[in-house]
Amino acid sequence: MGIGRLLSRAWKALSGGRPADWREKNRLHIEKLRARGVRIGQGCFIFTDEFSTEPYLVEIGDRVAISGGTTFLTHDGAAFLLRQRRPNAQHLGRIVVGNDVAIGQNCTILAGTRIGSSCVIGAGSVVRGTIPDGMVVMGNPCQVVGRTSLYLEMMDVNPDTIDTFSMKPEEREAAIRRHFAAP
Amino acid sequence: VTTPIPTKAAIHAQVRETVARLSRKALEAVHPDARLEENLDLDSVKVMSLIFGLETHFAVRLPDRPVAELKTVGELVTLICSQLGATD
Repeated sequence: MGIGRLLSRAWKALSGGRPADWREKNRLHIEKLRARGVRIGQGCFIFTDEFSTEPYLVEIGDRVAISGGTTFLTHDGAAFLLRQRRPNAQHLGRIVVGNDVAIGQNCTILAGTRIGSSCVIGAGSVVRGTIPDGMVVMGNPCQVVGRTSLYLEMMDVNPDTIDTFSMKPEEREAAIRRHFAAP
Repeated sequence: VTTPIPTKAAIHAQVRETVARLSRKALEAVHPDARLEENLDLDSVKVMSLIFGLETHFAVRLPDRPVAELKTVGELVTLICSQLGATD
């Protein structure tokens, strides 16, 4: 049994089976991924479990957020066809993610990809190759659409960016409902 | 080798052409008072793409905060002109 699973069971036992706080869940999840070989820096939030069959080829920097449904593919499955004449062939690649990166929901990060620091990867993107530092990319195949610094500045001035993150769940829901006039 | 600074008219023409292409609106709709979001349907991703394209074209880096606060085509033209030091 991996260390992650052990920690998870220990948490459940200690907490009387109550669902853990999401930060605690994240910490346990990261421990589990590290035990599988994924190299993960500090201050990360990772909501996916999909690190392919070679998780030890994935390296993630500090303060990286990875949304659910995102997949890290460390090999090219088309090697299946090459194996008709080269029976043991596998095509593999490392994946490296820099510091201060946000990866949206349901992205696919292909083998050999290097994502620079301070990047935003839009939801649903298929990412390959090298993404320079400080860029926002999206699409399939993903393309650079702008600078992260501008993206954040635009988000900052957008009236739908509200300061609710650290509120208690009920308080946050009420504030969001008020803001969007949601019944 | 120094690149000549484009005139305000050249900058205006380039901005109009780029905005029209990205927004898929007629060139006539892209006048100085046209609002990027409300009149030309440019969402935040398209605005980022617009800025990135214009920065590349004019080889200039526009400051983030003023860009984030832009509302109209005219304001964008003015900002680029001021960053480039363009004259008539």
